[in-house]
Amino acid sequence: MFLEIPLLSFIIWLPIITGCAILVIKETIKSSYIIKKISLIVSIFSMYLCYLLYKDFDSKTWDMQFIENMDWIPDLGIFYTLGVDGISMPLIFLTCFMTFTVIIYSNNVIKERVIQYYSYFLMMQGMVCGVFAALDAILFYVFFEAMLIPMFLIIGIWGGTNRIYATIKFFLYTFFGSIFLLIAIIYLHYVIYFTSGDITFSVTKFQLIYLSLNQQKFIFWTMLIAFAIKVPMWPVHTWLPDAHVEAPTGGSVILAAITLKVGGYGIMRFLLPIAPDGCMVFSNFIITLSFIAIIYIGLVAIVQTDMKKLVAYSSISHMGFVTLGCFILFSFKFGPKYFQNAVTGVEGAMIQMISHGFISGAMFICVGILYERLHTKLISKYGGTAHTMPVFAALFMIFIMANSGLPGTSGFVGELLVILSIFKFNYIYALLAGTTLILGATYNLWMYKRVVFGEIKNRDILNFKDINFDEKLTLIILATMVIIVGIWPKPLIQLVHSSIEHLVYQIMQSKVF
Amino acid sequence: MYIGIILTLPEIIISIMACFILIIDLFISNKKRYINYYLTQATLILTILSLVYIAHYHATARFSLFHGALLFDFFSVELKTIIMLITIVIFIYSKKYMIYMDLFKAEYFVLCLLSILGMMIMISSGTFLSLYLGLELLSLPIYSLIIMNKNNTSAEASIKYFIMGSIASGIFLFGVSLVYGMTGSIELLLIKKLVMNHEVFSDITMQYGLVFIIAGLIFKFGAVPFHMWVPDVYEGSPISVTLFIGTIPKIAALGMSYRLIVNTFPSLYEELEFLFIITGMISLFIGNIFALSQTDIKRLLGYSAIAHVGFIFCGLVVSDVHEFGAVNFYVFVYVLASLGVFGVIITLSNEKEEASLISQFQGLGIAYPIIGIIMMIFLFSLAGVPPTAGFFAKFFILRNLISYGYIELALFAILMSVIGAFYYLKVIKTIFFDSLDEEIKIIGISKIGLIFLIMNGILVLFIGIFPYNFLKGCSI
Repeated sequence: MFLEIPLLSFIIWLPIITGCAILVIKETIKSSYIIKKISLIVSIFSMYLCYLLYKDFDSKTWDMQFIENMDWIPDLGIFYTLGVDGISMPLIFLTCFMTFTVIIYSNNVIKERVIQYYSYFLMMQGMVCGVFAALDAILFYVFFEAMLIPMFLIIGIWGGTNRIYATIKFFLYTFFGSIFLLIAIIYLHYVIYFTSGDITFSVTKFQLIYLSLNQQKFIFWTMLIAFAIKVPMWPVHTWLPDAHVEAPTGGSVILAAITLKVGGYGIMRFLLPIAPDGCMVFSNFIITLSFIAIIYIGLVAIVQTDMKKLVAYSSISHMGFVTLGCFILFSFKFGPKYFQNAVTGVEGAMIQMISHGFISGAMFICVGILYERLHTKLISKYGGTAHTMPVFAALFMIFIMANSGLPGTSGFVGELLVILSIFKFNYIYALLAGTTLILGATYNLWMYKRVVFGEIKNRDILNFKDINFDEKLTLIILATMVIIVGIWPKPLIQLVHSSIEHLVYQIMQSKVF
Repeated sequence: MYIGIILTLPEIIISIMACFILIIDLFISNKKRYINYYLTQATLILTILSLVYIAHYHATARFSLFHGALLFDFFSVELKTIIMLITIVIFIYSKKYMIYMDLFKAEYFVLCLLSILGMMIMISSGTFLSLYLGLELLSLPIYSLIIMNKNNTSAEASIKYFIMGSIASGIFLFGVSLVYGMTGSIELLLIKKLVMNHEVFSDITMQYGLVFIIAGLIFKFGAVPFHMWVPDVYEGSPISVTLFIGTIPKIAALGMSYRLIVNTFPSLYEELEFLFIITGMISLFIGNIFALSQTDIKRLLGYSAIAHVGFIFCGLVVSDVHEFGAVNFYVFVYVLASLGVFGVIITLSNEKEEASLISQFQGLGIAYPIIGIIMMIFLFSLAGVPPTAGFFAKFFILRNLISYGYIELALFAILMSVIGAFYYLKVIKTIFFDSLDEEIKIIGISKIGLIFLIMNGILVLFIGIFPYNFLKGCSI
């Protein structure tokens, strides 16, 4: 019954149109109260739409499903094409889910320019869903860039003291990266045009074309710059700590949980299948960068004095696993024997993205909860919050454990799969990747110890109130997700399995003719 | 002869009405000055109606009138209509400001009308002579418009523009004389035929002449190396005049480049590529780099105009008849967006002064969220960020560049636009993120003007989301 309704279009445009519509309303106490309710309803409704999507989704095939196709600029081969497969489907759910938690959490936190706040978050949700659902490269690019605008405003308006520097840095960094993507897209378009005469920007057709090695290297570098900045990988990660520290809690959550995934998704959707031989040539380079991200950034995270910065660095470190999982398969000798290993690695990367979405979002919300009470993010100012906030301390513990990759939480599954895959290839690499468990435990538990346990350092902490209903609800929902994925990841793996198998199959075929 | 009168009806209406307004101004008192305003608007609407009539009945063929002096085709009618529409909006935006600044005079409207007449002649010129006449008729009223508010900076701007403009005209004429010497004709279509059929015309003298002619074009667009007047003129003129200079002459220059490139020298075009590439690249570089440190919004927009013209020249590198649509699209989108930006600047002016410093925009987005968001749409469009129209404008040009193999040029152009994004972001930052220091008031624009401004913003957004029909209209 629901197959006739353009579900994906609804998921994308409902929040965007609502966001635009509520922007014109004049802000009063009453109207902002109504707007809060409206945004909550919209986000719950989009979760319901996601459920419908999941219900009718056939996880046995790698084909694109729920395809919608409309003319946009047909003369130039640009179409409004949407569709999901196992890779994009969980990410769309993650987007709607995290926006939902942010909307619940922000209920009592944001006091000024409330309507704009909700409007930007709803727009952001729709645009990111658009990124994940777009099957036309130009449509993808439009959403990819357009989602900078609400994020730019969110950080700039509700951010901390140094917010303007951070937000402009964030915008320019990503804008700089994405223009290379545009060049690569137009280039691929003309490669198709000159070889087969097709005028198209379709991503699925991009994945099928044959490219010479030099062309693949060109595509590799241009797309890598775009997605590496988004992920972010080691040398181009510097925008992230700034943006995270200055952003309001909701902004940090969306930034860490969703926009970083766009980078990983881009690598899986564009970089790997379009230029596999180019990736092969430079795979060791990427693997090295991933190890630097995992180990070096993990070490950097240990010495942070600012809680939010610590979580931000841990994000970079965890995203290193995503790139590692994606690129480790090039180290195998291609053949049926290692096929399953390669699939495991990419699946690990995928699970890692989802679980990192939940965990980092939750971590940022925890930091935000503390910040709301003491108005500082410095670890040294805290201590002994467990005395006054026992419920919070318990919930915080779950996320700390998940962030350090404890078995039973979602953080463990992704890392385990990636490490398993590497193990078949090289013990040393596996050992290096395994250090993240130690490093993660170090920075997370040490931070937890200093913030939650110990003596009460600060008189204000005595007056702390434990978390209220909204905060509790947000954290409990997130904790449930983290534990469910950690204990029973099978549905998720099933969802992504055939698509990733197909992806690996595509990658393993050389495209050089 | 009858068809000649019908086709030149828009020009005839404008010239008659310009004289009529000048005479009628003698007989009306100071309080009734608004009659001039409504007469001007009526003239423009009448012109549009006549243009629509022409487009409806005669647009299918190309007419060459008065021994080839004027050319009429669909392209010229289209450009003229757009010029008229934008002029109407310009007057609506600037009405209240003109009253504040004591510019609400008959001369002002007459000069504007005459300048538009020059543009119309330029757009449909069929010989170098009429092209030159149009160019001069366009420029001379603008020189006097700049100095209308009679202060020092505007005097400097006006003199500067006048001297540079005269020199540029001289250079242009020199080039024309060289081409005339080689071909024995000043008729564009005839020269095209001659050049295509005879190899001798592609020798060095011809190219020499062509370079000088292109120099005239470069000056009119305001690209490097003839860009010096742009920031000074933008800064020195009253904002309503900047609004005028910053928008429609670009469309006229587009018409001129169409006449020169497509109608006259398509066969010599490949040899000129290098000229366009260099001009485009240096304009992009200088415009964007110099704009970074500006504190005056008008000056900033002046430099940004240079950068945008650089992008237009990059587009002209690959423009033959089929690809001209991309350049058209770019110019129209640029004009729409800068129209809006100047419109927002006008809203902040009051009886005493206009808002010229970027810092005067502080807190606009907090006090007036709608105006702030509209301004943001315009600025993001200038920066080329989707979903605004500016993105597709850039995209179509980049697409053409890459299709002809100019990947490095495309990369350079787009890298420069990242630098460009920085100063637009700085303005957005001032509007949205800086706290409100003092009371900010929107009194520089009438109610109708405000409605038009919002519609302008929605249009820019709309073209950015549904560019297809607009692009089809732009392709020739």
